[in-house]
Amino acid sequence: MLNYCIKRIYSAVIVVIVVSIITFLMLSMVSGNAAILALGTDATPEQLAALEHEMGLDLPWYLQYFNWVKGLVRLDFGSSMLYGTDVLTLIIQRLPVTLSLALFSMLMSLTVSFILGTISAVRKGGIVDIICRSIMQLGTTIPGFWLSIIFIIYIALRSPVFPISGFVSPSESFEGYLASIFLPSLVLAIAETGSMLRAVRTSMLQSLNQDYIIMAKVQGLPRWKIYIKYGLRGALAAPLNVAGLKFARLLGGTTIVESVFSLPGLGRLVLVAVEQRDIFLLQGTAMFITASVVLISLAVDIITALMNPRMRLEGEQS
Amino acid sequence: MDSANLVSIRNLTVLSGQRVLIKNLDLDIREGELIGVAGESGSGKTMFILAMLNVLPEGVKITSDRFELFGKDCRTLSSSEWRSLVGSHIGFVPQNTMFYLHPMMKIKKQIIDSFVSHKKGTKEQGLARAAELLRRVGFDDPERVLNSYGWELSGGMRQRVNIAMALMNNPEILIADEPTTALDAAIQRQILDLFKDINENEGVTILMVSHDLGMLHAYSNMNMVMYAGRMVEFGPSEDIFNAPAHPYTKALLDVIPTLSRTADDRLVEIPGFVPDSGREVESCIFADRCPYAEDICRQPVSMTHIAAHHLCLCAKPLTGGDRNE
Amino acid sequence: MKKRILTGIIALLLLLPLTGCGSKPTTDPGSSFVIPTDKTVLNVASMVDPEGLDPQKTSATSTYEVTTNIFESLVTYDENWNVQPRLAKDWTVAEDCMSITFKLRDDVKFHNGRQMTAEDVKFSIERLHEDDSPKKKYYKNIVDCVIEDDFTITFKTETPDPVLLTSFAYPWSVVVPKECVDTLKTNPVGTGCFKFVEWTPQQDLKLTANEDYYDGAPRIANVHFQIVPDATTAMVGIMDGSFDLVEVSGYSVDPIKDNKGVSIYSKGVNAVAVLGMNLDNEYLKNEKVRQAMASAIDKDEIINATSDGFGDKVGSYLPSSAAEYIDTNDVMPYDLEKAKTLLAEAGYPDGFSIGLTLPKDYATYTNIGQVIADQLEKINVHCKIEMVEWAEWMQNVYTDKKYDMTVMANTGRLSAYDFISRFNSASGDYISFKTGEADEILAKLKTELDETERVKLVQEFQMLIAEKVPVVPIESQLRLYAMNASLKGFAVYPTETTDYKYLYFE
Repeated sequence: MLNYCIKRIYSAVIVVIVVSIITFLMLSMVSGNAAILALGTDATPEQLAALEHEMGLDLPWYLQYFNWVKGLVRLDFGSSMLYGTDVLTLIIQRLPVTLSLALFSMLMSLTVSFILGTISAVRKGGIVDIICRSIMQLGTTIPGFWLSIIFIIYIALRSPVFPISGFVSPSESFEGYLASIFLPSLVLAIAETGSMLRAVRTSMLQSLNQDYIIMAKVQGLPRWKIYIKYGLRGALAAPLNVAGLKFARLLGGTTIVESVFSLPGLGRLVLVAVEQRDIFLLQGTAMFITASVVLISLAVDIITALMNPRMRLEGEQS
Repeated sequence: MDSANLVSIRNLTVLSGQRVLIKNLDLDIREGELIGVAGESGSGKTMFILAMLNVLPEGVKITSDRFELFGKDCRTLSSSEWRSLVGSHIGFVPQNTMFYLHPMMKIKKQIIDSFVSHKKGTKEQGLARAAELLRRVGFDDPERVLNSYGWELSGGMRQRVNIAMALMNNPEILIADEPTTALDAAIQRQILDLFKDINENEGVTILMVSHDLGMLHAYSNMNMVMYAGRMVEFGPSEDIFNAPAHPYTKALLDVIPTLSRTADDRLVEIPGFVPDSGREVESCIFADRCPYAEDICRQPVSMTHIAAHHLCLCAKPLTGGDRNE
Repeated sequence: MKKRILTGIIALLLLLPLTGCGSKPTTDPGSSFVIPTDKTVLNVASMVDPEGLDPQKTSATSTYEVTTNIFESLVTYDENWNVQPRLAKDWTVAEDCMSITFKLRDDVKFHNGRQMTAEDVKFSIERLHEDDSPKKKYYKNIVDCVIEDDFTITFKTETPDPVLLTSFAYPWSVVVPKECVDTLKTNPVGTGCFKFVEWTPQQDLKLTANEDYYDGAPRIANVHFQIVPDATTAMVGIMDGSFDLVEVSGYSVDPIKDNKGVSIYSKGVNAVAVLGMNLDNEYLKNEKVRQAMASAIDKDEIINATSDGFGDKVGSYLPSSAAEYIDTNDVMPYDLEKAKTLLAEAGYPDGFSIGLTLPKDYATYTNIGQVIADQLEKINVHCKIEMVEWAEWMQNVYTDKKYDMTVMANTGRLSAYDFISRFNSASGDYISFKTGEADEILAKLKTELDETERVKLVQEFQMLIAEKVPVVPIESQLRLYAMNASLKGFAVYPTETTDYKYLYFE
């Protein structure tokens, strides 16, 4: 197991390094000069040159990269031209929003998926299964921004509970916090539930076909024990793995919902960094998100390995 | 026939859609027997067991004129009542040892489930019984086994765990489906000795499926030979092995594998294959492969008594002369 | 254990809609609006964040919108282009237009409590000369600054500047306290009637009334900017009363204009959207080609198609709101036949293909560009549209002039001269007019000090642009605001900013 972890961590570090180089190069090559954007259309060429020099943009790329990485190692992501604030501070400010969205939507999606997916697999062809198959079809095709607007107009506008926009910090009011992220999380959850449900259902069907289910049936165990203790336990790994990766993806993929519900999350930070060519902010956020994705999938792999005891052994042998 | 029979089945037919898997099977199992079920792969042995255990695959249906387990008419039971009956009276030892133990649960978590569910005792009592049984099947350190996962054990150890698990509820019948497949000869012998011991000393009736007639010869006292979904011969070991009445039994005996033979499930020495379809015919289904086949074999055939407990499904059962060929 | 957690989650999800709270103002579910009583908080929905809060170090309108209420300039322009005193109570421009002397108020305090003096004014204007000041080039003519006494200051120029006063009325020519400049970007300290409270980027920004303001505290006690990037959310918010003020686009006016609680304010922007042309281009340097294009472009159709009719058609390069504006729409009217004739006369009876570079982040300009491309197709001029990122547009089009045609509007200046001076052949601008005719008028304007003569010259210039078509002027767009119907005193000033000083709820 230890061997497996070390190997996984080792490859994760390599991925992060490669990603950092790609991120840096891609974003450096993007056309558009950061200095022009900072100074606007009225700046003189001498002014531009001075600012470029100050920002280190006139150095060769490898030196720029080196300086950047040197900063990263000290957790210095540089400073946003747009906001004049430290990039890491901006990211940390936004993390609670995006994490809450990702977490809540995954919780909702997982809860629904596991309940419906299990019933659907156990009663294949039944009414729940038919509903589930429609959800699988529909869920992924409903556009998030449309659903968000529908929720705002038909739920937030009419209910005194949910605000139409803005984020309430949990330290301010916990109920307010829940209310402010409930609808956006729901939108994300609906988008994720289709594939999540499919993962649970497929995995559960596979598990129900295993010999240990026959054994459980032969032993005359009660139904719930057969399906939950034996069936579901055998079906956990794949959907949780999917959920972990979805969670990682949500860290950078909640932009639309954040925009419509006016939540100050990571997605919008990236968006604004792209729109405004805030190069340090963009590099910082891109790096942060990719590193998080790599780390989360690393964590997911290790947790899956821990959950599936057989892998511990295989990991050690290989 | 009478209530002393643990199992009494009449005219069992198993269908997968329109396809006949098992046809017109009659069987009585009396207490204390060690019945061997022989036949090539595809002869319906496993399907018959699954039918008894009520765990047939999806889409497979059964009909019968009588289906009694321990005096209860299973045809009137709901599926879960039937399974509950099976769970508390029958122990099942599977063929493939790998996947019958849940890979994500320690053995102690699964071995007592049936015991507790059927209210045979508490969890603690269950664990104590499990430890005792594990010792009985040959483990010196049952605690370690209980705290292991199935995949951490060798094939032989797993099978012994399966046997211990099957014995948890003090079953009246132990059903074993090719229990020694894929195990090496020494372990095969250990396990079969264990079965024999359980049968003789604890009076547990055993139904053991095997394609290996040599093994059955050594251990069983009653035998049932299946071919293409039919029981073609049934009788005490001395009759079956010394004076087979059905040409198929004879053919099987002629190519008898030794105990050391590795698992090759198909007896290629008999020309032809077990027919997969067309099992619904009323005439002898072995006729196509039978070296003794005559015109009469194309007529409908029914079970005939060769001796008191010796039955044979053949229009022209073999006599002493034929048997010695 | 696992079962219990699961049950907990389900219970939570079911109960969530029932637990109530949320800080939303109460609304009557029937009508979607409630008339506020004694309301003193102004909720403003902004699409984007300010780009830092130091107005001297950015060129972003989003910054000026906020900082105009925190910082003040020496003078301001009101809605009708009249100069009004602010930090300066009086001023005199020298006869030779080479210096200007301001008399400052002596009762102005920065938000940190320190009194503002001439020293601060000098420091602030000199700060505009720094390298990282985007407006540096507009102040290079101001070469000297003399502090006469604590509240009297004189600025001197190198060459005569008839519109020198306007340089002190922009949102960036504000007075900042020297001791705070290093943190102005995140913590602005000014003299205005609102004080900065806090800013959480992409979430909200709060201002509060400056009780010590020399002109008396404003009637609005608190301003709460909420960053709402989605237009629909903002619209819903203005209808349900979550927001009091939001800038909207033409298409969204229709659904809200009948709402009793909402009023609409519109004002022509101080800018002209044009089809910019690179006069070095083989085809475009031909005047007849340009005139043909101007005749082939139906401006009414563009305005209807791209801003739902909310725009003023213009025939030359001066916004319809400017004082010197004259209507030149009849000089080169929409006339397809004439366009075809002109193109044939120019030697291209069968048309030609030409590039059209559009900044894709600006929907207005790309939309206009696409309608133009469609219209030019009718005289067989095929536009090869290229969508580019804003940064790329700035680099390729604006700076390097590597383009054929583009669509853009450059925001306003306070004097017509500043506005049209980009046509100077030496201006280095992307739409320079190089034949010398423009230079002549611009040179006269630079030295002519008589106001009536200046107006005449500007009008002459408008005719020149309309006839020679160095760009095809399209429209002065209308800026539209939707606001709480009880909000009064709202106006957009020629600097494209609004002053919350005069706002109040009725």
